[in-house]
Amino acid sequence: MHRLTQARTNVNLIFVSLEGGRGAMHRLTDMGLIPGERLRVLHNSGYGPVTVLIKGAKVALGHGLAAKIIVKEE
Amino acid sequence: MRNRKFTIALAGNPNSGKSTIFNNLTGAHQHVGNYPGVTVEKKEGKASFQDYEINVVDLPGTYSLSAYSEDEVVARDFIINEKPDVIVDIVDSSNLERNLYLATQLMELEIPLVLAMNMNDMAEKKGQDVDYTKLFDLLGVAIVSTVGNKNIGTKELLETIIKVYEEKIKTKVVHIGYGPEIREEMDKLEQIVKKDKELVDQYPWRWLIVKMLENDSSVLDIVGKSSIAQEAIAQNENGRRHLQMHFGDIPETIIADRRYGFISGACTEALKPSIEQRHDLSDKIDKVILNRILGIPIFALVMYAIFKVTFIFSEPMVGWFEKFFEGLSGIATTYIPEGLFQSFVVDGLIGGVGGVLGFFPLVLFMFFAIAFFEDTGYMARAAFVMDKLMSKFGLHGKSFLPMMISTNGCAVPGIMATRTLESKKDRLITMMVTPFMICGAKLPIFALFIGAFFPTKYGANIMFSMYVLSVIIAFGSAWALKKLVFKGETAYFVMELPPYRIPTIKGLLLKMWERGWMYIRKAGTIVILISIIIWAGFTFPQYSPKEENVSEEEIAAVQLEQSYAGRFGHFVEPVVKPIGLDWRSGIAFMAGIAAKEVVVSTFGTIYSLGEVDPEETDSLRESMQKDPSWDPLKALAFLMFSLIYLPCFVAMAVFYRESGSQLKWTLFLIFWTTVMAWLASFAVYQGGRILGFGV
Repeated sequence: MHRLTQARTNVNLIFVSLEGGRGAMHRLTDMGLIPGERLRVLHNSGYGPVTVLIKGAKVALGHGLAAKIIVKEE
Repeated sequence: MRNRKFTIALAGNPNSGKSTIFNNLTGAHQHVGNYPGVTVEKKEGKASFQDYEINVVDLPGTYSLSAYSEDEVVARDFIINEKPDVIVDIVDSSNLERNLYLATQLMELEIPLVLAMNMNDMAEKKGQDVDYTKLFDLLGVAIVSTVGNKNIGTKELLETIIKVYEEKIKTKVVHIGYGPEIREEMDKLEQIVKKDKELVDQYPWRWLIVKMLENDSSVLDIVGKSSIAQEAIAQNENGRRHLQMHFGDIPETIIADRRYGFISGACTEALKPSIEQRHDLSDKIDKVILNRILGIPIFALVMYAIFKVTFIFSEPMVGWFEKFFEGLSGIATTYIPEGLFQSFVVDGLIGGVGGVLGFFPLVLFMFFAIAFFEDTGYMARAAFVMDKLMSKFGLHGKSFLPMMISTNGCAVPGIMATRTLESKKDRLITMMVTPFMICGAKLPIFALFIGAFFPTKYGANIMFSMYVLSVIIAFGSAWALKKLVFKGETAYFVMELPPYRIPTIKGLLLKMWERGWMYIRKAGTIVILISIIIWAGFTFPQYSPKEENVSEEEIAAVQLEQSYAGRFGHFVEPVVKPIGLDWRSGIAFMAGIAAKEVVVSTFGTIYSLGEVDPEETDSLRESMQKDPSWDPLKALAFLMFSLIYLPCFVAMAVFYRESGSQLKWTLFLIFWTTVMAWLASFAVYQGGRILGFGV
């Protein structure tokens, strides 16, 4: 288990949890990211936003938010 | 059965092609307004089909119907309060599961639902094959396949909407299986809620209790005001606690999980397995555009292009408007006898209308350019590229564009450009700091003062420091506003990056026109009204000299000084004294509210030079140099004040409208800019004096 900001590009992950408020969780839910959901890292330069593929859609997550997302490798 | 009228509402995710479908349904018969009291746009249009006249309301694009964002609250309030006859949910077929999440929430509002499976060509290309009959059975909603940008399926969509309205297609309410634990809590709440007849008449009870379990703040407010408030809220808190213990997660997440589960179940049954999503071309373009090295220069290039289109391409049109109003003033001067009425028509009325329309070409061209980059999918990426930097100052990646439009350009289209920001907080902060940028109209003031009081070799440096200062003030203000005024949970950056698409000309033109027209409609009346007030302030009371041989220029100077505006200039002298200035500057600042370049011509009048062209200020420059009451330090204080203080009233009118017509934000803007301006000039003037500059 690690943070999304530490993930390598082109890796399939499973969303575990979010260390954040309800507002942030809600935004993720809207994008289809609920605990147990698969996501694929498309672009992570280690700084700035991270782009991921969730349910077939490309989504950009700000660095601050990505740092609060806990994931595990599939 | 002629001309039956009914209302439908269009719902759907952002980027689902909703506005294209709306355009296809309504053609040019549409108008844009605002939902009362909020900044959210309301688009309405009419579709005439067969013997029906259908009123189409375009709801804001949302991912769900929670109470977290203004858009979502507006969308669901419309559905609950106005009760449209049919809801059409526009779904991006190539991204079905995520898009159906909204549908599961619309289903709970118990209004007949039609699903428009949009962009079906893209989905088919990917190998997706949908069994429509099965999906209809599973979801209980009517389904139509459409390709919005090719105008395919519009007729079928209208036919289906009418059939659903006439109940020839029976839609049914399918209930999502939330599981026995949630079901149990829902049953308990149901019994309580149903005791209040009024409440369940007004709202679908099932929706109410699901939302209560989701801890939805506005539904809890509604229930909190009902007769069963205490009992229901207590039971809900109990139920939520119980669920949280049972699942080890908040009920919101569990409910969302069940909805996605329901969708996933339906999709497995109705969709022939499709190949893994491909994003070939979009991915390749993104590799370049989101590249850490290339990203910024590409962004700069796009911003530059928008700026160019806004100010260069609009030039001929601006010219036509200018000529037209010059002509109109000419006619008025010829046919109306000289006197008060002529002055009212020429300076008050025509000046005011000209003031509104003068900005119109800029607004139009800017919105065309923005629409182009929005519809191609670049704008979402632009926000992405700039977010790291902008978020340090409490701004959003998209805040960059309005500020840039304003620099050397104009704050009026700049404030309008904040429409690309989704969150209200981000919009307000950006709108608040955009007027600090040095707009084109402030340039003549700088040219006059720098030319008059500083050696030529320092000119460029002073000018440059002014630009740097404007950026520091804008970003500093944003940071301070975020820290002091707009506190609370930080808005996280979550944004869908839609696949790149080729925009349609029709779509771009419609977008340009509807936003441009919005500017005229909203700002128009206020601008004309204030223009007349300003005219009156400088015209009354009237001055008629007793001596014979006074020149016209001298009359104008006295008229200005003893007018209400002039008296106000004298009145504020104690305030501008500490920053080294006198009543003449007070008057000039007052006049500058009409338009910044007017500051220059006002000094012309004060120095009895008659009409001074802001572009040709040699004689004014000399007069000011000869005036012993000026010195470079005072000039710098003046520049500082005019850099920061109040935006012109057109910008303020637009700000007022765009901030949701709430006076408090406009008053706050006036307060904030004035105080900042005064403090900065005070620091410059008093600091300079301590250091031994000035007289």
